[in-house]
Amino acid sequence: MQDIDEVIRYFPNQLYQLLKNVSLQNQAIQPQLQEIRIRVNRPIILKLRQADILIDYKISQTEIMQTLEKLCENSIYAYKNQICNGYLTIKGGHRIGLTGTAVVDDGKIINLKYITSFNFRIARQILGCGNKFLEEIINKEENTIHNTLIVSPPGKGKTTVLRDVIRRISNGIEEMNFNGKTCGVVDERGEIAAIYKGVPQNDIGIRTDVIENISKSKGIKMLIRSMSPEVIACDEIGSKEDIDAIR
Amino acid sequence: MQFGEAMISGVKGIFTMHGKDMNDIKQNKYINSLLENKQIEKIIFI
Repeated sequence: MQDIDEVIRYFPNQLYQLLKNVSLQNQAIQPQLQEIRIRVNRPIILKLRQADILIDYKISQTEIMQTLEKLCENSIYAYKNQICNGYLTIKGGHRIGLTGTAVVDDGKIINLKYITSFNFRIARQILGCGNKFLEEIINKEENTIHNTLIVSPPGKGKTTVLRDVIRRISNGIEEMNFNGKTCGVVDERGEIAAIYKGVPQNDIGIRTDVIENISKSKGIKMLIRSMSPEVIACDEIGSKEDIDAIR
Repeated sequence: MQFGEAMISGVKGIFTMHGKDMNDIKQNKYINSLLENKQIEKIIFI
């Protein structure tokens, strides 16, 4: 994140000014900020890498709705599908999770009303963070990659590493004499490429095609049919459907 | 086309999953079946 304004500009003016001042007073916030938790009538929590900072500002339901309208560029209807999926992606690749009262019809969420919470998740692309794993992943003899599983507890950087490794595989790795590969990414939750209005907000490499907001099983099949990838990548596999698509 | 056919044709895969050690991986029977069938060649723990 280049500037905290990228994220806090969506808040109503009073809260925006407060968070701006707090971030100026505490220089650790911008480089370490992971999440901003907003809950109606409760204090705001800034989740940093090592600690939480509580901001004594209780946001009202009206301010929550003002924030939502700004996130949706004053057209909540246009963002209905994303809202029903429980998140919005904003410029910079940051993701805003939201909760409220789900309106369900025939087992499907058709709307989310009375929004009560936001979770602003700060996107951080760390170029080069995958470098130390490339020796393991790259199959030099056959100029391809090994089928690889990256494992860690939540919040430890799997997706960040995956994104960087895809970038390197896609671009090619000169120092390893590795030619770039056509990569297909199934970005089910929009966290790898963080596409905003059709443009990936993260660098995922010059030979990478992305399909997002689709299940991994469907996305893998679509990519293989249409884009002829040499490498397929997806985040957080584990269900039967995922594995059926992979094998 | 099933992905299995694609794998035979040389398509490779890189994936992530939640977990902290081999036990966590093996507890997911679907992932474990990939390991048993040697469809996952490398595992990287972060």
